[in-house]
Amino acid sequence: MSEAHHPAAAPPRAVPPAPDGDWPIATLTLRVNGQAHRLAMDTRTTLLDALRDHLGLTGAKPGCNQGACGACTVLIDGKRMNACLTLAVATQGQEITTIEGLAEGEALHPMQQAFIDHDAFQCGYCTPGQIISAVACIREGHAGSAEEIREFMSGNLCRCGAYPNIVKAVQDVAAKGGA
Amino acid sequence: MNAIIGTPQPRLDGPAKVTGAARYALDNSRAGMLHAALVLSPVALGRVAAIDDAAVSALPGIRLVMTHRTMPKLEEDKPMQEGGHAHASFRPLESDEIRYHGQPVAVVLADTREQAEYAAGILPVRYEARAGAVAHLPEGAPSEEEVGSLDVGDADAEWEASAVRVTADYEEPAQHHNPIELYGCLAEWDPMGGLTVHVPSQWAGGMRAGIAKSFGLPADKVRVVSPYIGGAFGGKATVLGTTLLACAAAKLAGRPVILQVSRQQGFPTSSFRPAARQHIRLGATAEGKLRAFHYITENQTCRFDNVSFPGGEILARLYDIPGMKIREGLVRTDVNAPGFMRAPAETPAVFAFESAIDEMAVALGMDPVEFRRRNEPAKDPVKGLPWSSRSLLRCYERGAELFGWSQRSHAPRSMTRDGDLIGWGCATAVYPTFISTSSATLRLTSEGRAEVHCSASDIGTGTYTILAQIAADRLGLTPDKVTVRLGDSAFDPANVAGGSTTALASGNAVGKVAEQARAALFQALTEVEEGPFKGMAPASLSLSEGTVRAGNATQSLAEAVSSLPRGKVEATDQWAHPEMPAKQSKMLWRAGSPQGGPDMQSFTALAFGAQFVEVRINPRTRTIRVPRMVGVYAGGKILNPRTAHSQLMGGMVWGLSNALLEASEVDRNHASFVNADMAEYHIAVNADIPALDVEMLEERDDKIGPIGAKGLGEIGITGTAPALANAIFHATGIRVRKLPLRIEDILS
Repeated sequence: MSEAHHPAAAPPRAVPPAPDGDWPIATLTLRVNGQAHRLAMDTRTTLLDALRDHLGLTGAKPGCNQGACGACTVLIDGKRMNACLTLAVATQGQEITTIEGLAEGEALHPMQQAFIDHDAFQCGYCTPGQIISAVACIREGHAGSAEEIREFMSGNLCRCGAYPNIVKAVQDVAAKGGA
Repeated sequence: MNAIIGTPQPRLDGPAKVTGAARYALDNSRAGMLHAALVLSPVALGRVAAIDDAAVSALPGIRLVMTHRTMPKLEEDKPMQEGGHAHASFRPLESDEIRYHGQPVAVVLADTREQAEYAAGILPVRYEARAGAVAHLPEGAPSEEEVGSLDVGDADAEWEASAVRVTADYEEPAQHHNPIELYGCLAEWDPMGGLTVHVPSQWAGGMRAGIAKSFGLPADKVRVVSPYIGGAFGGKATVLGTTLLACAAAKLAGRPVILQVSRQQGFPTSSFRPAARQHIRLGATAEGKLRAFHYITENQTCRFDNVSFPGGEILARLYDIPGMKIREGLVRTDVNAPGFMRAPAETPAVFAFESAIDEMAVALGMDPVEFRRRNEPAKDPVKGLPWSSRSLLRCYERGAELFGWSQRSHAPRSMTRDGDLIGWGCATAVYPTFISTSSATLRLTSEGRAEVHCSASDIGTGTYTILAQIAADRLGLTPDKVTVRLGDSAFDPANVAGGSTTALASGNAVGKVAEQARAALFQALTEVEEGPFKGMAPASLSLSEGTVRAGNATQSLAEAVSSLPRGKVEATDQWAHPEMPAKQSKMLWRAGSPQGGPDMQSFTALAFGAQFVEVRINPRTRTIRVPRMVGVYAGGKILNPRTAHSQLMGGMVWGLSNALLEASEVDRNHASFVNADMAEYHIAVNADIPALDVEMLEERDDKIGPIGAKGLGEIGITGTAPALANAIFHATGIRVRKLPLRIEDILS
């Protein structure tokens, strides 16, 4: 029998056994889009799964669950982070902003409007992460040129290949005074 | 009619997509839903000897461990290329047999994802492995089965008589689609024995048929729902084995099941672009007139299905070559079934052929654009039919102008900038205009709106928007007065969103039912007692700007429809090209995928483009950079320049990624894809993409159907890789005949 381990196959067997076969449940408070939510969940739950499975906020998307694609990008205390690499329990006391919290009421956020205006997406799956990342990119001061935007937006993969239009959308918002 | 078709309307699905409101398959949830996790085989050949499911069954939250011993028996389904709807005829868990690395051997269901994944990770499975698995395309392996053959003239005699000859072998690796959306589904059985599956789908109707067949259900007991698809590129056209596993597990558990296939697990459980090789001979006169083309290929497939993508018959349409001999073959390997991946036949074929064309231009000492001009065919060289339209040379002229091609110094290594080697290359882009058929329903409502229903998919291509434009055009409405609903097998049948067929087929269907609904409305209004149009000739009525008019009489569309007995007008019909045989077109209603082309009865239809690229290569490190790319395309009527531009641009981004980055690397010891995640399987990122110019030429095509639009979803990728290889040769004098094009290939 082969014991070969490979990322495409089963994870390694060296996973530590859960205490008493069970895993601790944490009771925690998540502050998301200005609202506090008291929740109980498995301590292994990622912020991405907490948002999607516990709060029904499905705008942030799973794409790789290893921080490689950026589809799950959210703001944590204003910084863009991969929600798939962040444990929910580690974000207590922090302010989380998702794509659902970006618009002001019915009015789209300028970056959302710019993505529509420049056709900066096709399938739309990476788009929530791109938009969150783009907002942060400008706030960080990394939108000074097309080249800089390309570099600082490279953590968000777009398989449809909308990159040139994403750059235009970010430039547009930056030129109009930011995000 | 108004002037909406051809205008750059913003996407109607834009607001849903930028706010996170668009609901993709895995965004759904159900009360009592269980989470599924897969256990994959680490061996490529052999059998499952034992699974100790008791070791995890007692863990908290674990509801079911499904193995080959408990998997419900499925009915057979054929792969799509053989008329079925399956990705592969061999499906996991149907027996203890293992036929490829990463084949699922168990499914764990639990209350939460964390519990399911943990248990799947520690489930003890004992394997009996067999040696000898091969997942790569072995060097020198001959074809085991011929899947494509074409002869034009006497290719051997033309070759013998050719003054200038080029012989070259090309090779492309296996690649995976890697849509950002993970594979997976939510499967839900209802108490009446019906099954609803939320699964990203390029073909809701086809997937319904395949799932229904597998579970022995009538098709109307199954519904496939897929309004939004997070990237597809061919990978979501057929029923994956993992989809059937989720449906089977939900049946066993008696509860809804959601399966999120991880990125890593998606590599072996989904389809992929198979590795391929081409052996080319080109012969020409000293004056640069092509005479002979020999094309022999080997294409990787699996052991259980013949998945073939013969591209030779498309290449045979590019230039006027009197002698052509094409033989395309398969080599069997121990992998899951390959499948359609963006321009599946054309991408590797055009890379090889357009590289060879450049090699011939170099051998002749001729400008490669001029060389192509000298070999432009007046008619289809294979069938002798006229072109429906063909604008390749116009694309080259315009592309050369945009790019500044006249400034090219043709000798290799003759252009430099700031110490870097500069290379300029070009290549033809081509994609056949497959002419399919589609049905649609259009309803005029008492709110003065139009609702369009069609099971076609918008995989990001803009289908929602262009269908609204077409309906709006025919009905004198603005697109925001049209609601388009797609991606649900409950709607009228459409072809798979593949082969770049949807815009033409479903566009024509929507145009047809819109005209029928308008005619039915006019007829009915002339029969409304005390209505303003009572007794008038229906042909004297018109509809524009949401108002029905005839002479001095006017009525808003909302009032007009409200005045009718049923308060609505509805039309359902199918559009099929008059040259599609009726026997073929009616297959649409039997979950078939009928399509004709590129040659129809009286014409041959393909879309063409010309691509130009610049590469910049550091003379010491040999790093390859791409400062700019230009693509000029002619695709018949451009229905929406904004979404069409994005398709072509996205295709060119795919082309760069295909040419420079993408390869599913095979571990030959374990017959596995070894770089199976997004950190190691590189796709182009934002910083990889240069200044990119896309231009679409006006092209009128009256033969392919009333909408006159050639598909644009795939052509953009086709010319990029050869243009880059040709540019790298121009920069370095080194001809690279194997993708991806890498630093190590140009070191010497």
